[in-house]
Amino acid sequence: MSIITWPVRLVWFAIWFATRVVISNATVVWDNLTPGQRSDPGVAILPTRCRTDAELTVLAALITLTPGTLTLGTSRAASDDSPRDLYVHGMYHPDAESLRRELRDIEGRMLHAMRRQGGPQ
Amino acid sequence: MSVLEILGQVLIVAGGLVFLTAALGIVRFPDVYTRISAVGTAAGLGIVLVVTGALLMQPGISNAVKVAVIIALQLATSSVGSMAVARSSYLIRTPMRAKAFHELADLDARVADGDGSPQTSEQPSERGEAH
Repeated sequence: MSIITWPVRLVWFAIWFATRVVISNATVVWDNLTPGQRSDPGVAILPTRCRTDAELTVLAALITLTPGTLTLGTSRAASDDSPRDLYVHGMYHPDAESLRRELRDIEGRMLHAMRRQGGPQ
Repeated sequence: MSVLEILGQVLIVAGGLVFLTAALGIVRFPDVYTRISAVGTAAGLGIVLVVTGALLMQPGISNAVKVAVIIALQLATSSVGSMAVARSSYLIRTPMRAKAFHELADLDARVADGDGSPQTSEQPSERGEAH
């Protein structure tokens, strides 16, 4: 991975994320329009791999923008460099583990797109 | 009517429908967190659809720049605003209804018992029971 592919990765991530938002929005709309509530709300703790405040902020904003998930807050960092946790409210996941799996997918792709040298997938 | 205009009108109506479902979500979802979820999404996605539709109906360089700025600012502010409301709701212990899992409450309980990690004690240590 190099700086040359950076813009491509950013654009590709934007397209991927837009598609994701539309798909999960359809889930929320469908739950809304059909009788009854199918949602299983819950809060999960997501240990992040973000190194800077900028990465953490973008990740929290992306999670909030995805329909059905909402960032409630972060933990305090133990020191300036240590990674922080995000507290995430999710609506359509049976347990915390499946919610975390989805969030880690977003996080990996986001870091891969944002970091000039590429990041964890 | 050109293809662009028809596409623009379709996008604007779709954006309006997103807002409609968000309003329905406010009425139908059970608690403050799910409602914020519904509104935060609509504020982001709905506005993007409406302004993109408007751009397709009146294409141009300067309009495209304006739309890009609108989308960036709208996505940033709607998500930050949603998080601020959600965080303050949690901090004043607004109960969560019909929760399937709640790791943050488990963490709070551990912190209250004294064997949680101290740097996560920012959240309140006890919460109202959900129904």
